[in-house]
Amino acid sequence: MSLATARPLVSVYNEKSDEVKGSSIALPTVFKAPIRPDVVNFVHQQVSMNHRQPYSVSDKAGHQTSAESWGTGRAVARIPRVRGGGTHRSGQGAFGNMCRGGRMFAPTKPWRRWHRRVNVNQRRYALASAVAASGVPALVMSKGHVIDQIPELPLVISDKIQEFNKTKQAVQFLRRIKAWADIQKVYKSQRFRAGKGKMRNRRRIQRKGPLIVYHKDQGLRRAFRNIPGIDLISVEKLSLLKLAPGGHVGRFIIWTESAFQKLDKLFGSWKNPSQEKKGYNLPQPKMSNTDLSRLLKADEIKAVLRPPQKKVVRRVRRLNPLSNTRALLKLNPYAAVLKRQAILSAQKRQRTRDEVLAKKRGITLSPEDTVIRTAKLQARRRAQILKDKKSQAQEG
Amino acid sequence: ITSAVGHLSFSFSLCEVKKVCKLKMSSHLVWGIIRNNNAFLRKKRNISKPFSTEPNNLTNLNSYRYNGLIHKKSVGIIDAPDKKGFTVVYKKARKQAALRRASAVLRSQKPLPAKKPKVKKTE
Repeated sequence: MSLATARPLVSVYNEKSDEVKGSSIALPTVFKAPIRPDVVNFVHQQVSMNHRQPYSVSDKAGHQTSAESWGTGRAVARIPRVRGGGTHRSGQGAFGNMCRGGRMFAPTKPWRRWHRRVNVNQRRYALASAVAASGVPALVMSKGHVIDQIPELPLVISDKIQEFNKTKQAVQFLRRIKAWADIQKVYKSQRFRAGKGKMRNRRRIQRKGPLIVYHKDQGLRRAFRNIPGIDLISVEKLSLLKLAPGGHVGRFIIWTESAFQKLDKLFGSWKNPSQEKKGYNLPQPKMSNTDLSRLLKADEIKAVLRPPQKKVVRRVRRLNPLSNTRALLKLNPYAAVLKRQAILSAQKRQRTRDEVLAKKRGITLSPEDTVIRTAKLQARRRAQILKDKKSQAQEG
Repeated sequence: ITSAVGHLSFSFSLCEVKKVCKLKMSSHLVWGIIRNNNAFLRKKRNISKPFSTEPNNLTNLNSYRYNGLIHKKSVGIIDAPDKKGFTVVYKKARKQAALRRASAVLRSQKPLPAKKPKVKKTE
């Protein structure tokens, strides 16, 4: 079961969300690329650093004084203090990070390394993974997009929507295609940011909605851009930050027909290198068949494995033979005999002792007394045994 | 003994058969990606096994076995629309027909008749 070169057909839908009969595109091979959430996460992390603007403290901050330490002998700490007199500020500590009005520890510098470079191949790997993941409904749903009612995934629409220029048309289209539920979710998620970001021009936040990938913008952008949650992107300029927002794969993507067809040229297949990316070929997956259950049941693999150990061996509690008789008997069966003998002889001793004492004290024991009864019992037994022996001897 | 016609009548319905392009997405792969990170995951304090709120999950536990999305076939139980009893929703395994050829003929799969009402004894 190698990588299926047979590629399923994706049907194209028109802007009224009817299936356009006869028009279907073979699934671009990118959608079979290995999905590596670790690569995507790493690349996303790095790439998102590239939009940053430097921040730093003023380099003069805390140093605009001519403070000097008073030295020892003045019964004050040796921190540099502000010169002069006549004002509150005189004599106050200066320069140190612990001083009020001093400079901070390790003042932030603008030459901090803000941006990160990522290897081109890694970037493309991440892109391919992200595109592939967008074609798996389980992953898209798990990312939280509401795609229960959409006709197909990957969702490809005819190029008509590229010509939309009214938001009204855009909304109508999204409704028809049953993608509106995802946008409603965006609406419901609009809220204020928690934290200081509120006062730093990042007041409101909301979920991400569908991403629309187009080939040629003939008004599409302007039609869709006012709908909350929607992002627009050209196929030529696929961005990981949009395909896997947050570093997580599985964004809901709506492709236009021409954009979808471009994907094969952009990424190529394992057999043909990409036409647009020089010398690029799709990444090789580590496993060609990822269905673990089938693999483990396969005869070829079972033949090499040892038989499964179905018996569950549980830990047995160790018992102390000195305190637990059963444990003792397991180790030393003769101990039962010894113990029994000890008990019996103790009883016998006790009985003879009682008898002797009674005699000594001149007390006649009542017939219910244990001593008398056992003596009688034993006498009876002896008689019985003798009789049996005799009868056996007679028979034999 | 006459069998009482229970309140719990249940019917079958096919879950919205979305035409999904059959990709080589084994459930194990998807689970590996999703297991600790998805929108339906619910972790609560002091509960070692997290819950999951996706639609076709029978025990609402977050586990490979019970996940409603990743398997080819799955069963879900929801309230019947008329509030009487429940409906069993099932996902049919996709036929490989669409996968095989790249030629122009696309076989569309007709969804099964939606409801097969079956009345059973009360649970």
